[in-house]
Amino acid sequence: MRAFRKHAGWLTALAAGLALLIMSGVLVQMAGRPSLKLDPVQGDPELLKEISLTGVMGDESCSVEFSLENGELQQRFSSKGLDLAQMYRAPSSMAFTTPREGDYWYQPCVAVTPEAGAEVTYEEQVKDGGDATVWFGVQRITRCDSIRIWAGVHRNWDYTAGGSSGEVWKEAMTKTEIVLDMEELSRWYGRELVLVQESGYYSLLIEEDGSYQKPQSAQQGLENMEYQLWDPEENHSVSLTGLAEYLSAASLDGNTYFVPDIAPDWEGEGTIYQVEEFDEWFVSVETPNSARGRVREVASFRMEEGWKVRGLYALEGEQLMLVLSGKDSIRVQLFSAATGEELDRLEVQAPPSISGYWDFAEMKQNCYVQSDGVVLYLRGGNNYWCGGFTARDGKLESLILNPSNMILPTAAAMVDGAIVSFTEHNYGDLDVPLIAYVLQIQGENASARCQIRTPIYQDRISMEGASPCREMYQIVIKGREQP
Amino acid sequence: MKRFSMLYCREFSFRVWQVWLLGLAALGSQPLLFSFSELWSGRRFEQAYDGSGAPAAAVILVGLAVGWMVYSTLRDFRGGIDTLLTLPARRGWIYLAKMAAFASMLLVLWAGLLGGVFVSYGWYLLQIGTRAGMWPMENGLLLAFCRSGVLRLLFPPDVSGIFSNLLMLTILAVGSCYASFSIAAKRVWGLIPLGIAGLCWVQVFRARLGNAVDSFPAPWWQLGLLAATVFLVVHSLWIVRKADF
Repeated sequence: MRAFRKHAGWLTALAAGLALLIMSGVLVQMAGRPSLKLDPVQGDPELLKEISLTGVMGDESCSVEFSLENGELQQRFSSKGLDLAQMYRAPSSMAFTTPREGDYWYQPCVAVTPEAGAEVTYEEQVKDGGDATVWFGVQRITRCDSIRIWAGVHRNWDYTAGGSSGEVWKEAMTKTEIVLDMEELSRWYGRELVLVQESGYYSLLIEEDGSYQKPQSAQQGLENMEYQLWDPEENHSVSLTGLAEYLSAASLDGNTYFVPDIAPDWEGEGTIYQVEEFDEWFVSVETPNSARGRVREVASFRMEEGWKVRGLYALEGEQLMLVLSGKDSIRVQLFSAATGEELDRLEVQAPPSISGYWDFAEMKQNCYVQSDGVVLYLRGGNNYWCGGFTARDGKLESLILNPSNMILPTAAAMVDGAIVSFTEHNYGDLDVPLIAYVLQIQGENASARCQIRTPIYQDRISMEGASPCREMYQIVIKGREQP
Repeated sequence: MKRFSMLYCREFSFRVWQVWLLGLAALGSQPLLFSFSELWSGRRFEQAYDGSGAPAAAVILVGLAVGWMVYSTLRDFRGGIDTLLTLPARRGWIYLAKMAAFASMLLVLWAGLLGGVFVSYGWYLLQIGTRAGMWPMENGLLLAFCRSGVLRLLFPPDVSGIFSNLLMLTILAVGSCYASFSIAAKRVWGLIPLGIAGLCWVQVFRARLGNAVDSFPAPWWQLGLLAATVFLVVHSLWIVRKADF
């Protein structure tokens, strides 16, 4: 006891230090414990050795980097949280909706101008604003025989400078060779259409006698506003956007390409364009629908009636892959971005439909873009279709699957002639409530499936308040031999 | 070194039971207060911990430790300081021995608080194990230490956090002693460096909790805290050497 009293200070400090060390050791040991578990489910597990999968699971507080190499799952815990904005910028094999490259995002756009037989009228619009106000606007209505399509692409990125932040928008737009007959267009949409330029609406005060002063400025400069395709009966604009939506633009290595994509049927020569220089957006608001930036024609293709643009993809080796769909077939054309030459072409027929009816135009698509190809998933009604296409040295390779149902994968890629997908499955009957990701390799001759079980289900059931919730990010699927 | 050890043991002998009591209070109060928090399906450990009285108890215990350090230094001035200064050891060693004793006290408090969290987690596992539809988070304790600002203060998951923790504890010991010296000498301007150190401490504390620090980014406050610590140590050593109380 005397010795204890004599050395109480050192002993106490030693005991506290030891306790801290032991507890730290327990936590460090926890960090080394694997979070993800790999279970082969069916097929030849040796096939797993042919692919590599990397990704990160985490939230803003912590993360686990993992990789599947040579059939073995490696993982490393990090107490560093993820920069989620950065997660979306990095290349991945995950579902692709808006073309992007680095910090830049690309959005294709289309515009119209009257081409022939234009006849202009003005119409004042008055809307009751309630109380003592009215909303007043002017529409410049153009009835015409035909309209011309303009196409382009917007490029935007976020900036942060000097404590302020915002978005920067640039634009490139060009006049296309597509001219649509207004009568046919109205028939296609099933309603009579016109072109309209709107002034915007002004709030006016109503005098005691019920009158109000119309602003003189409402009609000024109206001819410089953008044209909208308009349904005068329903008094609203009609969208021209086609089936490819954002996927009609593509970018790789700083080069941006786009193809006009509109909803109405048209027949003729389609063109793929390359943006050589972007212009400031709105810089030429005085001359709407005129060319902006600098755009050159890269390649042309034949557009037959009933066919639609489904996507344009910029691939390595200056190759452009254009995907078109007809009623029951998909056509893939490969072009050289440098010479415009068509390098290869594939046409795939749809399988017999379960419901006896098949129309690709009515099927929604999801796409997964990789540097040398694309995997497309289309679904509509009871019909499902999945195709993988890669382009190497000007040659197209494809694999078509006809799934009987479809859970859209988180990530997918075409690797060495097989479609590799990474799909989230939630198995509620597991003893431990884990989400399993199913990694599936489907080739012409062999297939394999394995599960990667993750604990993120627990995060999702505890979403109280602003609790962080771990997710999978930056999933990249590659072949073993690929760089 | 022998003299330093002797001085350290002398300093510690004045507060051995208080230190053990503080450590035990930290160890016991955390699970006790945590046990009152409500648990329901999906409520994570860190949410239940942050919502319980345990973090407040930890703050009170740290406050008690600081108060005790100020009190025990002031007690040296009640007729004993001359004896202390005439001990056969360098005056700098006397000061450093005092700091080491304070640091030991804070180390015990830290271990007690961290141990309390471990015990609380054990209690949490026991509780949710008996309820239907509730699962423990896999590696839940580690995730809690990553996700909760309060728990990250107790167990920093990275080197900079450990450095920050040591700095925050050091300045508590150094600042308490400096405050006592200033009170004893009625040195009003001594409040200025103390105030600056306090401001830096609070900002680092806020940054560690995950709250935004408006004016300067957290590393600048850390540097400020380091500079304040160096100044307080150097000035305290100068005061002790000159016996300028």
